[in-house]
Amino acid sequence: MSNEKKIVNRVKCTANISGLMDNFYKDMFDDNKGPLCWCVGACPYEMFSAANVRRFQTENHAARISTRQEQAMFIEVAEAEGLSENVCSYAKINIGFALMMARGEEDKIPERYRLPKPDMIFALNTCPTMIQWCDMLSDIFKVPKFVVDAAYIYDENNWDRNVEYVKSQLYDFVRFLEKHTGQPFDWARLNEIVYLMKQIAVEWRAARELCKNVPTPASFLDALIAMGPKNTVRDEASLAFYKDFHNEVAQRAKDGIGVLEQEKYRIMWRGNFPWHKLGTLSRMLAKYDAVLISGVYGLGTYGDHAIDNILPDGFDLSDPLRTIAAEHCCRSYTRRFDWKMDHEFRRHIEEFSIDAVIIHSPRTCRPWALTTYDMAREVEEKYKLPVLVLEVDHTDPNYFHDAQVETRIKALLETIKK
Amino acid sequence: MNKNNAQDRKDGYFAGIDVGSTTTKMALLDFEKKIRVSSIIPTGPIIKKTVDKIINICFEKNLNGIDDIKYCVATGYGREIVDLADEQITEITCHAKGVNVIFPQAKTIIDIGGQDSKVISVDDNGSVLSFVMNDKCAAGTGRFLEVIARSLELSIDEMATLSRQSKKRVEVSSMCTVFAESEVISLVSQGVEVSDIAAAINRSIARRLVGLVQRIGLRLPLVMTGGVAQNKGVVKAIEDALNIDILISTEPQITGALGAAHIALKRFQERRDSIE
Ligand SMILES: Nc1ncnc2c1ncn2[C@@H]1O[C@H](COP(=O)(O)OP(=O)(O)OP(=O)(O)O)[C@@H](O)[C@H]1O
Ligand code: SF4
Ligand SMILES: [Mg+2]
Repeated sequence: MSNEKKIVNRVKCTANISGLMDNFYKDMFDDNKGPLCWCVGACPYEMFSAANVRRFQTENHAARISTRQEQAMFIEVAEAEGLSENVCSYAKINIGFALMMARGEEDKIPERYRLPKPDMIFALNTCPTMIQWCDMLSDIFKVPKFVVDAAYIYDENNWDRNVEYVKSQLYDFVRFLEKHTGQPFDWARLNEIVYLMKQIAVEWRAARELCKNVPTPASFLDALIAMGPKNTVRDEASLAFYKDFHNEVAQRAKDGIGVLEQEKYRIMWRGNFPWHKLGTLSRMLAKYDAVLISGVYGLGTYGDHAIDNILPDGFDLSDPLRTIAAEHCCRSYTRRFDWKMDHEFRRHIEEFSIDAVIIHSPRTCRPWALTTYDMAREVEEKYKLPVLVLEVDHTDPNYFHDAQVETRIKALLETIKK
Repeated sequence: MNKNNAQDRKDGYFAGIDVGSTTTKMALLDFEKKIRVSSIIPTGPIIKKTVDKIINICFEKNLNGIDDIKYCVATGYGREIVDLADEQITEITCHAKGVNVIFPQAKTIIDIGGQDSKVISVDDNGSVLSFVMNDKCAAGTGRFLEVIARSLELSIDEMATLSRQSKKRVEVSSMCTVFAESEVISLVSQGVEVSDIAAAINRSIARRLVGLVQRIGLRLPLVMTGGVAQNKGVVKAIEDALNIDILISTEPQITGALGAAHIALKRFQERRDSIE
């Protein structure tokens, strides 16, 4: 019967992530490590390390709070301040958090999430929310801000111009960092970190490739849990972790160990992830012998793009700023619909033996919700696969109703002809 | 319960139980695929009790004992709570099957229940091709209509009848139940005719459903199921908005339970065939 609990055999070393991330956030309090920047969006973290500036990503911090389902309080604070319920829930968690800090209500914040006030704010403009979010933080804490405008790649022929556009802003950012730290930018350190990212990308990519095996040795959820160091920490310990991750996944693949005892349905996920429901979704799918195999979300950062010809320049260690700029031009949000269909859907569906696709259309994030129904239609028509568009949210708990989501997922699986 | 003890293999029933958010439905089929009995009762706060109750109601109607149920499929939100069930299947698949039995030519289904509205696209065998649903919001559902009827101090039936006497077009622009309710109240206080408001509410439901239909792509014929398919005002508004005629069975609310019972029969036969 479907009621019995199914075992989800997670990649064991992902248990170390929590400690790694805890240490990373503890470091934010270490004044010896330079001033602190709160970063909105996927930012060029390598550059902060080279400037001796501590930094963390506000979305990651919001997701961290949400995985333990402690986000509601911060959302309420932000909404009471006047942010509408349609505003990105990541932004509301972080702004609510910032407001509580600025008002001296830190004692109400659970200790593990506490942070020092920022000395500066950075944002990468891949989404309009990020700019306003950055403005608000800068206002709340009365600190300087720096925004890099992302290039929207409408035409691949203009690739060079777009990358140079981002790169020129990164140069300005070097000046900004030098001004605010009073120290020269460490270009040699930048090279080291970009080289580190290349090694991380190789390990990561190899582990992800192994998920083409049936049964898959690791799930998309394992990858989601594992992606933190790659996307936000980016140091030597991160590389050590990805070597372990790759080794373990390779061993499981060799031994034929899957995530599920019986893998019946292989599902692709597209869009950001409801962090507060990671466990719920994992169990819900496992109950019906379904596993999320691959996905388009943060996995791509210094992952597929970086090694494939998708990143035309590859890793150019002689020009690290260009490598970083190119990496930022590879994000899903800044791409055309047909590019997404080809690079995000075709590749995953064909290479990972996908049976059905779930497209997350978040209630409070426009970039990820954009064109979801057109994507669904095209996947149905072109690949003859069933698609579920799930309208929930990345962190706002108000939009997720377990029974409703389970019915939709079960109905999706019922339409798979097997 | 011993489900294999029937001497005569033509003796026995196949049960479909649809525990919806608002009502619980049960249908019993015999081997000839004839509906022997069916029932609809409100879903109470304790689902187990509701399920016991509907089973008792069905078996009071001149049937042999409950042991004669050969296979039972449960569907709807409460599907996991039906002890009698051999299998749980979602209402999406069950509505598609139920419609296929009554209208084999159907290509698109609109099911509006108390809490959910869904549009399902099916193939010639009644298998689901794709579906879309309203998400966590009562807009465009039976509950929405009930809230509005209450604020107009009308029964659902009265509202449906009145809406068809509307003479003047007014708009209720909000699809959100809470906002629509306050819009309705302010229209009433402006002295707008109740019939015109009722018609506007039906159009607002229709808009919502048309949006869902367009997401999936309209293929004809279209069948409507669920309790709200009995609301002539809403049906007419959807027909007008899509400019089509909608097919509706005599008992649209039972469709999910009926589909579940047909799936139960099919499963039983598959299982028997595989043993033989
Ligand atoms: N005769 C009728 N005229 C108009 N509306 C009706 C009639 N009978 C039932 N309804 C409406 O149908 C709704 C219930 O439909 P149904 O039984 O299909 O819902 P459900 O299956 O319990 O809900 P869901 O599928 O959303 O979980 C109620 O909201 C009720 O207002
Ligand atoms: S709206 Fe979406 S893309 Fe923008 S910050 Fe929020 S989650 Fe990120
Ligand atoms: Mg129903």
